[in-house]
Amino acid sequence: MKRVLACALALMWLTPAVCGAEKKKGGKKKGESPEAAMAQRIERVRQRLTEVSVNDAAARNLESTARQFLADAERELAAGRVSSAQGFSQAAEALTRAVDHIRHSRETSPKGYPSREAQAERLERAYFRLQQAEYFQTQSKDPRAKGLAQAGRQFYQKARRAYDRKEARDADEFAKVCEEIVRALEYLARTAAPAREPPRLK
Amino acid sequence: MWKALAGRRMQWQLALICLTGVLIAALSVFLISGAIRGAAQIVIGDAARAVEAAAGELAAQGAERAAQEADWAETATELKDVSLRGITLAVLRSYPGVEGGYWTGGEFLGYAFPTHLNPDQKTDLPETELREIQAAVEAARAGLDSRRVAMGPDQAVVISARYNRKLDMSAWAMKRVSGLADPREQQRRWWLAALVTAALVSIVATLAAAAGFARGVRGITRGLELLEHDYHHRLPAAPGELGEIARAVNRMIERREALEKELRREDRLRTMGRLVAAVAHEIRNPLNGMRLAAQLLKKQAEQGRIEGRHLDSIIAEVDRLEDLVREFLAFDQKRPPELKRQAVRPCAERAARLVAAQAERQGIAIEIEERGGPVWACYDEGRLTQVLLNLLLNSMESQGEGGWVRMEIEGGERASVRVTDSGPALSAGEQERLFEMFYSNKPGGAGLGLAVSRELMRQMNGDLEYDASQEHASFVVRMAA
Repeated sequence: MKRVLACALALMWLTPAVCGAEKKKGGKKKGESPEAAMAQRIERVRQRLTEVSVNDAAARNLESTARQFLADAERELAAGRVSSAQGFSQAAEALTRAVDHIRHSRETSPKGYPSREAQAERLERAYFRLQQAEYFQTQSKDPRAKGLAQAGRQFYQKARRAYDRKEARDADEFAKVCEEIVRALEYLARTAAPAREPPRLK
Repeated sequence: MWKALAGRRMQWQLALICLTGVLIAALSVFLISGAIRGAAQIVIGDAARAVEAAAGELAAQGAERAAQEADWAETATELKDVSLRGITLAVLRSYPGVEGGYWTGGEFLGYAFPTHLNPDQKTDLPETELREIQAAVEAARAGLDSRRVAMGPDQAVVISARYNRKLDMSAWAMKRVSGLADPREQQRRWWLAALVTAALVSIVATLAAAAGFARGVRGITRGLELLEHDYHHRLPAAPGELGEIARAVNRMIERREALEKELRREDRLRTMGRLVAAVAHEIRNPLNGMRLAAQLLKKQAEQGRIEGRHLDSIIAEVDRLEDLVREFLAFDQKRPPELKRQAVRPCAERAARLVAAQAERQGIAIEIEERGGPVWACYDEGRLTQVLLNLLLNSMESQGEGGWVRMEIEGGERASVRVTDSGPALSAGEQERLFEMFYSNKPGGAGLGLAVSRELMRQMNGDLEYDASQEHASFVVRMAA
């Protein structure tokens, strides 16, 4: 009886985890056109952006940039460039997650944060991502990219200082903000990637 | 055998030096080559470790990035290229000289060379090494050792790859190791060649020197052996220091010859002095006889009668004096020996006559014996006379008053004259030094007589030796029959 109950609980836990992830990433439903799926995704990100909104200058900047990306995504979608629209929407989604992490950093309720070793690892990962920011910034050719790269560096600095002060929550959340900003830059760079062309004879 | 080796000590030493030179040269070549090879291996080994670590890190970061994106597999290639290049740039920044990227879906993606002099422009794949990179990627995919080291004339290329089965994606890294053929390398090769050449030259020079030295020593040894029998022989000319030795020996022989010549002249004068004393006595008697005959003739002339027998007596005494003078003049040493086959006895008798007056004064009897009929030999009359005269005078001087001196003439393959006196035999010490120059057992003796006499006999292809087997002092003069 106990075994059956355990299996049922595990199934209940796994099903939303798998399906939820798909939904979270904006997975396409069967029979749905790419344009429709993209429009829904844009809408979902916008809604989420409203949900995570926080009263912080840096967060407001990121939120503003995310909204601009969403507008770009809609424009690209209207122009029939789904791939480009996807890049902007993904960048906006990454910035939404960044704002969400800023919001988490301002929460007062206690929450379990990783150990100091795990924090160090997180900071290393953020630093590693930050090293890619310059390339993505150059690659994107977007005037907003420079500001994002700068914001990414600032949040890394904040995370590093928080780590020094042993403020686990800030160190963890700001490192995540940094990572998400660089991810947004990466998606922005992707939108500028030239469309694949068949090879020419040399 | 050991003796033979010891006899060629210098040659063995030279051979040993030569062998040591060869060993040192070989060891130097081995060590220097090894050091060069070792240095190259170390550099290549370092590069291999760097590319393996870089490929591993690229693979790990690539996998992490793919895991962050749920639809990574469906993501367009050009978009993946942007993301992966970002990773490559960040990862390889810590690996100087390493370039790399990913291989997925049959295409190279995310290539970057961040430590290149111009990384923004270096975005194209290295075409020359593309085949090797593909081979490394395929090897990694097949689960084999993916490390590739391609050696070029002036550089080596080290490649490594890691495969992620889940993503069907390989990460690869490559490093070029240049400087393997740097100018110093060429310089080292020249030095090595010079070292080997120098070693070979030294070996050839040592062997040539050893051969020349051995030849020179053989020539000198042979020359010295010949000198024992032939004093006119000269050592052959040899090059270098051995030539100096040969010339010095030749100079020494020439000086010795000149000295001996001088000594012989002195000895002749000395002998003549001794002879003059003997001859003076011989002259006095005929002169007395002649004076007596002349006085008688004067008286007879005053009386008006002259007897012819007194004149005969004067004439006989004059003849006797003439003989004496002739024999005295025959004692001439300046000319070269005139070897003539002639009877030995007349020469012995002449020598005896020359010392007869002195022998008579000392009461010494001189006997001459000739065994087996007349004995003939090849000799120079004047020189044999001098030798026999020397022996007779020595015998008489050593005996003092009374005694005898016997001259035994004997024929055979070599004619001989044995001069024995009634005195005791010589001691072993005296015998040993008997023929040495300036050795004498008589007070006031010059020590030249016997040495010069032996030399005179040898000039006539004869010899003079002391016979130690006799009870009395006995010398044997030998000549060619």
